[in-house]
Amino acid sequence: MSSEEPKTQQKEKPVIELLIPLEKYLAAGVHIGTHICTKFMEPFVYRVRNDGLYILDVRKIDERIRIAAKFLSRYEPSKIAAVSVRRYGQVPVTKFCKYVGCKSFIGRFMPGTFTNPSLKWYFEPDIVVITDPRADSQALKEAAEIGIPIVALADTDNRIEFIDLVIPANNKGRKSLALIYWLLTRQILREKGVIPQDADLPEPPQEFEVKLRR
Amino acid sequence: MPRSAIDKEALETWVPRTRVGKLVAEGKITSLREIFDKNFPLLEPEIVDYLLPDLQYERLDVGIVQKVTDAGRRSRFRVVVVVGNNNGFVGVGSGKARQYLVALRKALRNAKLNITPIRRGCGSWECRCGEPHSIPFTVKGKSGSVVVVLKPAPRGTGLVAGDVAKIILRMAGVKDVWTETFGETRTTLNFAKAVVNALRNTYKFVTPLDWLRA
Ligand SMILES: [Zn+2]
Repeated sequence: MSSEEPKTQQKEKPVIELLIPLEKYLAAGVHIGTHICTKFMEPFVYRVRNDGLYILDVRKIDERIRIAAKFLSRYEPSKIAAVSVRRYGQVPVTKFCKYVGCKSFIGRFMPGTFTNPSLKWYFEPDIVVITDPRADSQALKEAAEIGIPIVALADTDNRIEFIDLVIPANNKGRKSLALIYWLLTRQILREKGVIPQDADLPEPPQEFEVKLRR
Repeated sequence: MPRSAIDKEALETWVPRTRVGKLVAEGKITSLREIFDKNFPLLEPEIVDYLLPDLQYERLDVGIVQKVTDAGRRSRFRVVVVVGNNNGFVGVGSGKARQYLVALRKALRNAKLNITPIRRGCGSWECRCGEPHSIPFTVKGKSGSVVVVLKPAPRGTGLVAGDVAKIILRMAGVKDVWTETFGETRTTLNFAKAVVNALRNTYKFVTPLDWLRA
């Protein structure tokens, strides 16, 4: 019996070291899913709220951001493509590309960008970051066709075909997308040693948000 | 009847635009098999020209297709060709243009991009010689309504097939095979595509020999 005691003690106070305080994650609504949950995204769900809304596990989001940053930092920045068709993802992607030095594809994704070498805007990435697997389905399809790794933000209602690394997150919210891309940028720069391990970016996550016009 | 399918002019002025094309031009990839083994995207027809200097083509079909506009009809040529090196590579392609020669060039380009390796062997229990004069097992291919079944045959059988299928099988380097067809084989393009699809399926099947590779 005495041998079991330390075990229970460890369970009671699990050491969680998140990249930023939990309150910031929750304030941005990163953990909020949708009313639908696909079989693929079940492992990332924390609980189901009474009104049927699925809530993502913040710890798993945090862990996946670290893995994705480590993965992306091993590629040459100019060979990374970041895609967002959706409006709320366009500013975060642009800022992300500004800091990391990768190429951004915002707005309509021209078919053939990755697969047709005779086009003027033909680009050959080594890895691609996708904001929404459903909205950016053209980019997803072309990346799969040329056989490059795909990192994608996926909500609870997304299918994860062709995706190699899923970052579970709310990919519909303005603040959520800004925070995810801010964290990803910071973590990549830390992995590369551009900024020290405990340093922040010059801009706060609010700068990554899409400004609302009145 | 077979003629050389190599486009010498294009090959001399070729500037590779894709990563695979650059590797080929630098001499780091020396065979077309390597591209298929490593699952690289084949996006430039010049790669095939460069790696298979003995590639030949044969015209399967030429027809006039029409589009009805408000000013009458606009007719174009549609050419269907098969390319192959008589030694394990075939491809079928079609091209449309106002002039016949332009259509032929387009068809050749298309056929080179659709080239596929085929597995040969001796799957006939009446022969059992183990040499690659036939196919290793029965395969099935489909395009449109046409279904083609290819069956291994003993040495000396020849190509027991329709005229279109006979040309493709000869270009692929198969000497003896029995075939069975279903559907509207008078549609040349679909018949040709179904035969190539069947030949491609020889690599979709995993044999005990493949367990060693991996
Ligand atoms: Zn034999």
